Amino acid sequence: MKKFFVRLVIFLVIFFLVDQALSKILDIGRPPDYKAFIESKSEYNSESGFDILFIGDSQTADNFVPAVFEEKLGYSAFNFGVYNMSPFEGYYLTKDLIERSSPKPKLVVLGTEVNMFYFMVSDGRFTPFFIENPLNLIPLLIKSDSFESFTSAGRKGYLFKPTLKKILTGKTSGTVDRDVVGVDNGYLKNIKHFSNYAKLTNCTKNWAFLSNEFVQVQKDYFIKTIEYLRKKDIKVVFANTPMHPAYLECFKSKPRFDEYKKIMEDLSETYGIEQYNPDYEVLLGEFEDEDFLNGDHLCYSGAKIFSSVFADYLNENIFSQIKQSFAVSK
Amino acid sequence: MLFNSIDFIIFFPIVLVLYFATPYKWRWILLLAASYYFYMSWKAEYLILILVSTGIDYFAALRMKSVSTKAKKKKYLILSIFTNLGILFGFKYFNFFSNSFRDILSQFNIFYDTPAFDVLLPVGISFYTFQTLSYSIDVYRGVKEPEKHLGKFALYVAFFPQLVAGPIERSTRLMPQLNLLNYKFEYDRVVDGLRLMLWGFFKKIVIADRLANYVNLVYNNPDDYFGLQILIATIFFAFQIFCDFSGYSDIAIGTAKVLGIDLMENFNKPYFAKSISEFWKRWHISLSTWFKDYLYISLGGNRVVKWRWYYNLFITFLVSGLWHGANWTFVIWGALHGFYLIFSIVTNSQRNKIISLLKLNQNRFVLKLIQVFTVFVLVDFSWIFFRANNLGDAFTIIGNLFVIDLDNLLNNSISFSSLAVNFGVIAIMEIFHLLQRGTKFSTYISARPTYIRWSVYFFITIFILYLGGQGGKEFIYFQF
Repeated sequence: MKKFFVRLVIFLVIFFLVDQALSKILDIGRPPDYKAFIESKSEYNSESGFDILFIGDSQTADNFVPAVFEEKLGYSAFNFGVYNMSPFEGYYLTKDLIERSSPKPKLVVLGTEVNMFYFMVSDGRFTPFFIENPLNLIPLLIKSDSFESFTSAGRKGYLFKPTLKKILTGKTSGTVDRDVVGVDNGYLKNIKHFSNYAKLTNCTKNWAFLSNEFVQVQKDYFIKTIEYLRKKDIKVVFANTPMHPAYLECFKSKPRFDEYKKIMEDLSETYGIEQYNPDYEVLLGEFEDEDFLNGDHLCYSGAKIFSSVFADYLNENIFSQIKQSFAVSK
Repeated sequence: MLFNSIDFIIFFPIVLVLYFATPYKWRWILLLAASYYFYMSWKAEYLILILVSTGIDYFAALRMKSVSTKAKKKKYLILSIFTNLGILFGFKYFNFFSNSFRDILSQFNIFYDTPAFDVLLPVGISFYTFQTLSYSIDVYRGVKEPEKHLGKFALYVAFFPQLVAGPIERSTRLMPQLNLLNYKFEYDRVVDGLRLMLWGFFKKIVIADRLANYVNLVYNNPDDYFGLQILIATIFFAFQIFCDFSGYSDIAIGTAKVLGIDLMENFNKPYFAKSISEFWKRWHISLSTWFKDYLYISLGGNRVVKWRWYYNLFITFLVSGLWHGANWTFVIWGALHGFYLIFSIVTNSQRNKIISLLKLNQNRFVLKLIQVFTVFVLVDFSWIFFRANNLGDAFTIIGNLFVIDLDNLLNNSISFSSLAVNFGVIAIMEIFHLLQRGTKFSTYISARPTYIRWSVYFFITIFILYLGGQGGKEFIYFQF
């Protein structure tokens, strides 16, 4: 038995070293947009905290510009939208962010979207980078059944292709498909817009990280997130971000569109949470095509317009309710 | 609980440590508790089905021993058969037969609202019911003495490594081992078991789960794909199902081996078979031998007139198809294999003549290559029915297979590099199969020098972690 355990330990030590070495090699292929994305979230200053926190997936990451909210409302804001983040991961990230925030945010905007209950539980590739407390990270890794998340190089799996390309051709292309010109409280100012009109309006692509079936776990964890925030006495708003009109038209024909709307309506009613833009009607048709990165993501110019309108909405509908607590904190 | 889950990675070492720390005579309690926990972590209430099956078969076997006449014995055998097949029918086949009955009636303009039994199919139900059935039949036939120890018999029914997807073990093989449980921690055996588990994980996570992404895309949208896309998806499915199921079997056999228990081999490089009958000696061996011993031979086997022999073969394959799932696609799949086998028997002498005429028997390698290729094509064609969501989809896929869409030769939803990796991992597995020759993976690896062995361990581990499909996919055979 002793021989077995000695060899097992040697194997694990060597594997750890191999993993670290591979992880370093993968950093060669770290494209600037990916690097900017990872580093942007490290700006989250938990000591002074933020009044408004945006949490959600890539649509949240791309569509809420914190500077606009600060300018229009006078409150600090941070965008913690994470590419590919499912509601399951969002729960652990939310917990982690709230636990390390002092003072706690007064308002959390949960960015929602039609595909959110179709994310595979196991896919998260970025979220583990941003969770600091092992008590949040470990359950996330265990429950996700995502073996690669346990290893350093595994978490950088996204960089295999760009690293190979860099080694073979010396060139590095973007991985998260953004042209980043600056960072603002977690928000990446992406000036790149769509390159193919057909793709801009076509919603039929089957993304590898989405399941064909409804994933109940995602709904359960979204509810857990809501209940956690309520327990912490933090105001919550759900927000749908804009889609290109043609893309939205395409999306409306999918059964999951109505299914999603029904779920969000129920949750909104059950928990008394305001839902912004439930029908995707806000600003519909008012953007230029060039305001979109693709069918359901805005680029910087579009995000500023949307953020401005959403800030007005918050001012009129939400802040009137929580003005008193804001006044006390300020 | 899935083998390819973090839960199992935590569960198994705990069971292992407790197992070797427990005195021999109490180990059955630990393994039984672990097995029930393993099953209950999926759906706790369905344990009741295992308990019912265990209780009835334990009682029926003891009674068979105590009664004197064959007729009385038969009564208890029928009780066992009715209980097990009743559970299986109720949970797996009721809706299928009910809906089929309704469809038949509707052809005659009789519209009848059939009752539906809306329950989740209990995982592994076809496996453990068949395992306990074989015990009852063996006791009836006098091949096996009934087990007096209820706890150990319960462990035989529910032994966690093979509970939900086999291998379907015979009581004559497994019971004596479970009765002993006096195994010490032997380095070679434990490492051998772990090696097999690692290989099983590689096949499941790296090959089957990766291929599943492509196969699911095509087979869930059969109208959207044509020609080469379907061909690739169908070839991928052949390897997906092999790696999924044989991967599970390897993990099961390896897990049991670490605990000191030898389970039967379930797969032996089936895609190297040179004939359909050889394929069935290499594919899901524990099930095909079960059907041979308990159905085919009971029907009379080949010791009957020719037409009856063919009938016995055909019925055996038809039932085998139905065993896999309550859907006409599985029935057609079974029927196709029955037809293949009968056709190969009927045309045997003519085929041998053609081989002689073409002088193919002078070059055994070429002959073998042609035979292996032919068997693969036939088997792969039958997989279309096995994988398709319904018969309509299967025929759409077959129709679209012959439509060449030059503008969309490959599937645009999957990158070329991803396809290349998929073919690459299949090639790695087949290279290992070729290198192994007649031996098993663990035997082959254990005979290599240390630096090769350890390199293989590292590469496989790295492949599992970095190239695996999205984790946590269920094993295909769980639905059976």
